[in-house]
Amino acid sequence: MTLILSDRFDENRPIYLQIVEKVKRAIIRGDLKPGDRLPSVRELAIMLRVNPNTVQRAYQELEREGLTFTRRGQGNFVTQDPAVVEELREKMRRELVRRVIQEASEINMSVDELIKTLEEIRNEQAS
Amino acid sequence: MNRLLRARGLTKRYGRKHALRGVDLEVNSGEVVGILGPNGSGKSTFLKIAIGIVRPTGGEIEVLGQRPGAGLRKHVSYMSENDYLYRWMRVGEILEWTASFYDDWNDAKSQEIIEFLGLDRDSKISSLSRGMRGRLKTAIAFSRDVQLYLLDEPLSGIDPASRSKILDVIIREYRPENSSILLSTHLVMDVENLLDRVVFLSDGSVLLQGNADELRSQHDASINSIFIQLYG
Amino acid sequence: MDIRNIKNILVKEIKLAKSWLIFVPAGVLLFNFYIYLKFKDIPSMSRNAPMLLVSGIVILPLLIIAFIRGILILKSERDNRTIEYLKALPVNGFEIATAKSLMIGIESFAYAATYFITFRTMITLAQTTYTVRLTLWLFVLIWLVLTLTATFSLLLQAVGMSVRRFGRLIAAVLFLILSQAGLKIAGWLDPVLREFPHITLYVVYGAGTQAKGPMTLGTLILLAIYIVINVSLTGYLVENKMEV
Repeated sequence: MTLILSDRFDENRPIYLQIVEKVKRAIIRGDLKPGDRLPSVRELAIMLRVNPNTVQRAYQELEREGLTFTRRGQGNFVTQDPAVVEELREKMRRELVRRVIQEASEINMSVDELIKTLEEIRNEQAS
Repeated sequence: MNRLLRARGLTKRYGRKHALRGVDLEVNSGEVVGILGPNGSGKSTFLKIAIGIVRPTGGEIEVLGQRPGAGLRKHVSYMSENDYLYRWMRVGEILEWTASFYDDWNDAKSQEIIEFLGLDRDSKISSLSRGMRGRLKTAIAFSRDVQLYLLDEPLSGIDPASRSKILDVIIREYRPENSSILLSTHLVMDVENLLDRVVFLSDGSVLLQGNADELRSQHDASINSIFIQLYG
Repeated sequence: MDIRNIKNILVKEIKLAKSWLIFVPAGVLLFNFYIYLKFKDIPSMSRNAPMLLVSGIVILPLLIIAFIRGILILKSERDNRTIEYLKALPVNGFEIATAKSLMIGIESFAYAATYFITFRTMITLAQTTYTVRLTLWLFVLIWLVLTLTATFSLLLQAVGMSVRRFGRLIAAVLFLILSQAGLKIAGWLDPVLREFPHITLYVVYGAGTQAKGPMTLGTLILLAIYIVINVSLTGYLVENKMEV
């Protein structure tokens, strides 16, 4: 979980949503594996220095999206259904690319140009 | 949801000067509410009325179903913004003396907080720095198991290291399932992530109040930015 | 009124009042010794002179100390901002006033005892032809007068701290009114007080010459009632009018 905590919050957006995103990224990266226990609400609140209610709300949101589940008295766990994780990965990839395309269009950059530039940069970095 | 504090049209006048002009405010169980506003906006007056050490001129206030007074103070924890500790006492002495008044004093918890905050029971309070005295005030307030904590400017006038420690204690010791916090501050940045709900006070009146996340979404800005916009 | 609260506040007061309990009696002792050296020739004075001189000269500083102490026991809490800490505890104003007055009573007891013992010793040491018998009642009288003085100044300080404007002026006016009223009431009650049993309050000079005190038990009761009134009014002010 340490990786989740590394960056600070963007305080202009609801914090619980940012916690949700951090957990999602940790799941995609594999920092949190299927069946892993999430930190308790209190632990995470102390780690992130946020209100426990905010963490609670984030956990509820994660559960609602099917990414985690609760075992009574034991806490919150990452889903063991690989399909759900795969779906999340796909969704996040698409979201990212859509965002990039959106931003590119704002400077009149076509998708083809975007792909071209991407490849150029990849080659630069490889060499 | 249980209502712990409810103020209706609360007014306080000092001579011709108004400290509060009809404030409506509620605190429910399990939430952290921030009274935000610049100095002199009436934050401290509100908390002092809630604890019963200042009498309102008008309006009503009920805390834990009681009128503020000595009886209520048995069940509510209060921390003043002022440097109001008995300086001639030692740290251990003021803890023990204060504990003797309460049935809900939690010695184990007290000890833990004192250690966490790096306070020494044998130090004289007069020899502590302002930040350390701020830590001690926090330790005293959270050494009790109560439903409602009233914290007046817990972070103001205190060095960054102590501010961070105090904030840690508030988060560590806060239990949403059985307590609530009402805190006042003009240092919004420090408590940005702590507040469930905020009440902006200006010149004794409520300017704006609401759920912190909703306000962030509506204004597309942090509570701190909203604060700057409101009072800037 | 919760006894536990009063006890707890009193514990704090005693810790802080150590210097008052030690230095004032020590001062009284030294002062009395000085008087003794100065007035060794008391026997040569006219009959009532030593009594008046010695009693007056020692009791007056004590009354002034008691008056100042009554003010300081409350004023120091305001000056150090600790009055807010005290009031934010689960105690009411009456408990605060009672505990502080008890402290005043304990201190006055120490002052009165020192005075009483040294006064007697001094007279006995200073001359041979006079013997002085001081009864327990004289001691109680001095104790109550000192306590009354201190609780009175405590009340005046509470007034000063409860009124937002002209606090000192109002307290000074009240001082005049209340002290005059107290004396007036005592005057009116004189016939009633006389009905109470007389207390033997006398000093025997040598061969059977007595100076008998005109005091009755009623006087002591009246003093005690005044003290209780002072404490109650102080309690009312601390609870309802004194905002911190």
